[in-house]
Amino acid sequence: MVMDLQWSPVLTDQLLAWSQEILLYQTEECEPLPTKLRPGCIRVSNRKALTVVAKLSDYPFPKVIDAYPGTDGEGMIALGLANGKVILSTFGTTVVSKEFVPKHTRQVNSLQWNRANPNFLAVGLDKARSDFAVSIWDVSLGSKYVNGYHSDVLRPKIELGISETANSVAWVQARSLLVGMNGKHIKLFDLRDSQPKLSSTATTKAVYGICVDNVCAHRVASFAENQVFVWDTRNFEKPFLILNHSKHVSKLGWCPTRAGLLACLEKDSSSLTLHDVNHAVMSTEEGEPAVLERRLTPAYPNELELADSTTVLSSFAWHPTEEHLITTATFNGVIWSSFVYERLTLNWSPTSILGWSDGKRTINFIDNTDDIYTSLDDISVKMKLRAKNGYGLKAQLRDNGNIVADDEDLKNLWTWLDFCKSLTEKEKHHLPSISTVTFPGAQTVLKMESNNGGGVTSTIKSEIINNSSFDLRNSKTYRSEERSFVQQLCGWSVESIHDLQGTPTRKAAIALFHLKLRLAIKILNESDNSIVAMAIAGFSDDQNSLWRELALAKFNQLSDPYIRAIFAFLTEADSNYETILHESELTVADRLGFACSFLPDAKLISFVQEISNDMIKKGNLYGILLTGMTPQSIPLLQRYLNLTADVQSVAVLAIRTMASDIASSAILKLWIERYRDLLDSWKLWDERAEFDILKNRNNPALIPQPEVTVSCNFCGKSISAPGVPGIGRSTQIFSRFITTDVKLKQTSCCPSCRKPLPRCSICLLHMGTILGSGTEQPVVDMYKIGACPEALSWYTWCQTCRHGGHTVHLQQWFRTQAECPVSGCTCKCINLDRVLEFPS
Amino acid sequence: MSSSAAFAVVTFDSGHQDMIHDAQMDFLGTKLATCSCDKTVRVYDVNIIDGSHTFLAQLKGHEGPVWQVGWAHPRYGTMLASCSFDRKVIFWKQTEEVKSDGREILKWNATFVYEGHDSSVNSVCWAPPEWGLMLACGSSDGGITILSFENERWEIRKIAAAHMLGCNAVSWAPAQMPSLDRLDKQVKRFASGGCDNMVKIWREENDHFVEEAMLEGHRDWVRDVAWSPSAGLTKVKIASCSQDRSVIIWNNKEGDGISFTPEILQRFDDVIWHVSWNFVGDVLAVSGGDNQVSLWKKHESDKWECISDSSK
Repeated sequence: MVMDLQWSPVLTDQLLAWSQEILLYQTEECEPLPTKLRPGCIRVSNRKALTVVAKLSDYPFPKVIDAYPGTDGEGMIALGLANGKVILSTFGTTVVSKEFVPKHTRQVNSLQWNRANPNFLAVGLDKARSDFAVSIWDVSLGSKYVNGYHSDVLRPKIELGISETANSVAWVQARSLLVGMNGKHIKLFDLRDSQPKLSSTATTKAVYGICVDNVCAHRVASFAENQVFVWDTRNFEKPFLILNHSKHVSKLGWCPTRAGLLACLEKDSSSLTLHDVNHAVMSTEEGEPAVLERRLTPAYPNELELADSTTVLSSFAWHPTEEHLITTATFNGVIWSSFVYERLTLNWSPTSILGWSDGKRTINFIDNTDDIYTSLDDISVKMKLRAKNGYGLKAQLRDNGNIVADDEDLKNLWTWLDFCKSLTEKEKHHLPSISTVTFPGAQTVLKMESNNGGGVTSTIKSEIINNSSFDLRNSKTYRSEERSFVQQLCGWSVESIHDLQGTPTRKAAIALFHLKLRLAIKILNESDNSIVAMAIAGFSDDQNSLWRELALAKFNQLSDPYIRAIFAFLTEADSNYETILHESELTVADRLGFACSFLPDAKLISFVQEISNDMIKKGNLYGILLTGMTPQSIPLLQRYLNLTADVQSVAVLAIRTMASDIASSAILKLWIERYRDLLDSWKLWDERAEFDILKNRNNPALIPQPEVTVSCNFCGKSISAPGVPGIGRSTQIFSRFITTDVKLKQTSCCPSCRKPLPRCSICLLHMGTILGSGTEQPVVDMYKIGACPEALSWYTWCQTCRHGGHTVHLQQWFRTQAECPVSGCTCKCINLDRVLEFPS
Repeated sequence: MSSSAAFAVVTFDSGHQDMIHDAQMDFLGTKLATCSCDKTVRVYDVNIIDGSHTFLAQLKGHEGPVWQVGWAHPRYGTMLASCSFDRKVIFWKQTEEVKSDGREILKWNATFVYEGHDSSVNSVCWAPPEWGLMLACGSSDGGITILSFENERWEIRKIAAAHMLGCNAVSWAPAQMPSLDRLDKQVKRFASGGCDNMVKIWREENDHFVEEAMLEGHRDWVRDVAWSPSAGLTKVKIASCSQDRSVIIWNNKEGDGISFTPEILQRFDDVIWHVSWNFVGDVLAVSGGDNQVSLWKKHESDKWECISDSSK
């Protein structure tokens, strides 16, 4: 059981707790939970434990205790007892004590050492006729720490309130004392003179538990019943705040490390209420106290069986120096430390910077250069790097794969797309099913179409070949143009098995699937798989042969999936080749290639459908082999996106391979927009522009209408759009710049009204003419203008003074000048425009 | 908490007189705004090369602690909203004034002050830029206001008593959520959390915002909600944190926007104040009352795992 507790003000790692005896605990570091503590220790937080270092059993159930705040006290404490005695005592082997006894026996209600002047101890007592309620002792007077006491000699230094009750006492700085009196007043006494002076009085019933905010000494709190009053001693007539509680209050305490934070314990409550009164001044006219309130329930670990979040608290104590630390005690003796932290802000910026505050005035940042991002494997960091390297923008599809070389699946996809495109280009004239598609998958090639019933049909017809050259009974194979095209997409080719990628066992398996057993054995023999080669060489198609029996029993235990597939094929483990088709360690390409040779049409179609669904479910990019880059691939890519958050890959795939579907697919548009947002937030403007150009190149319908045109001064019509506006205008705008000299001459006047265009302020020729004719060709520095010499003759003008001319002329002018070239105009055009920075 | 990586933190003194309540970077990462107990908002330029900060302006106008700030999308200019204990939301706009000598002076003006709440305004959040200048704010009076700039003035729509005892946080849904709505439909949604321990989802319908779903799971005040950015993902998730020391990820597996499955991250040692998603929405940062920041990511095991913790 613990009645009350207090942290030692001097030795701040010591805690006093008392009930029938007074215990002094020492804190120590301990292993975090769930490690067992050594015996005698009690856990007080996740990393701290308490051990009893001293015990005082002579004064059971003291009314009040206050630890001596001076540095010379050697752990001295003052105890107030029910009989009115005040004992000064220390812990130790020989208990040294001193006793102050009042003339009349009555209960000690309150006592407090003066923190600023530790000699002074104020004691508040119950009422006694013609005796004082408050006595202030000076412990430096008289003999100190003598064994045996001279209570008759000791007199209080000051006495206050004759025949009154002191409900509670509290020092305000060095020489003022607040006393809650008679249940009616709080009186503030000024003790600077030898004669105490009453400086102010507040009439209130809240005379209990007076406490002073050490950080802001004119702020005082007290309570009565279920109300807490906050006072300002400079304006003591009425309370500054009244805080209502639902239950009776039993203890108050200001946080010693932060201003204006008042902890408040209600009776029969398992939590503390914390009031932040710093901003209370705000809403006085409303009557409603503008106090921030929080509840603090100690977070006991589950291992602590004696207390949980509903255990009633008996008391609490703030730690005097450690920030935010508050220790609570329960009636059944559980002491637990909690931290009252400030709210921390935390924000993740779009640019991958994570910032948070520390509850004070500083902000902490980490950005993507931090190690943390490596461990996060944050896709946005990867995407940004890839975007900077031009991912998705490379002319050759396979070059994009090199940028994502760290992701094998993506790299292989780009390589395959490149391969698929050239293969399709070559074959599309013989194969009607792919004539309109650029990136067909197996589904397209095999003419698979969903029917209304949710099933899939196909119109392919294949030729059945009975292979006499091979000894398997089941060596029927199927062939059609479509099937062999799919096999090519899978990277299968009979002619060049040696050029295949992958391990020798893969090559051997594919050779075997082309019914070339000898070649397969040869490949295995040449690699370090000669044992397997030997085993295969013993192949017998006899249904009951020992070879088959043993191979069937054992091949499942082999680790190499391709060797497993070889045995499954030779032993005909099942007539439908299920073992091979569902061998998940074989690549999709090899399984599909195999199916194209050995499955009859209906089975092939259902196999393709089944495996496509599986790939879509897994978001596996190898499934693109089945769906192609057609609208069928969208669910697969969406799934991939959901799993990886790699919106970049799906967006660039969309513009590079599905441009014609963008207009009709809201999902594709969404991916593209989100990726453009990303590029925007990374300020990768060039990359975004290139992305837009690529997006629109394959799909002119997406090109936005120009928002700005140059219009004629006279008729107000666009000089770049002779005749019809609207359709075709965009191309004309560009054609204006791609001109011959002849065309330039033609456009030196407005196409609508034939009035001349303005003159260049440097060469004084009308715009639309070739540059500075008559003089030598201007020195063109390609680097400075980009690779577009036509841009040199563009018309540009200052947004402020509206003077302008040929770009190249102005560029040369402003290389040495700051003012506008038009005489009389003092506009400092070049300084106004920060965006346009001419390289010097 | 396996293999947690350590933070290498850059710290920066905000120059505020008192505790900071919020710090937000703009969309481009070039500006930082902070707000504090000292009633001010401070704006900094961020050098994107070396990450250094240059003080730009101190915005005075609030009469109480400023709780939160939010940047509007840069397509609407340089604009900032702040909300405070003084019951106000202030919209600040940066304007450029060119002096005769060609120098540019940046000025900050409070372009609009919204004073429609009866108590502290705790949270502001800008809507996705697709919907124009639109902002939601939640107040201790229990109400939420949606402010939208239309026809050169601020239109006000108010949800009274959205959360009993007060609303602590608001967070907009991404503009398009392919799993919830047809993509050609514009559905405006946001989530809010409050002192009734609830997370609520609101949807615009006929010019009003109606409660679409109420997510029950926290046992104490909800302190923050964060709707995951979509970046094209179809998963709909909302993170919320509470005084009850838990963080819940709400997953809308059915894609109906109504039935959300709660997934509890962990019970922490102290109150959790804030949650924030990274830009693609696959990592969640959590800040605890115990002055700690931890990062969480869903792993292949389908469990949320702590990948880093500032206290380690």
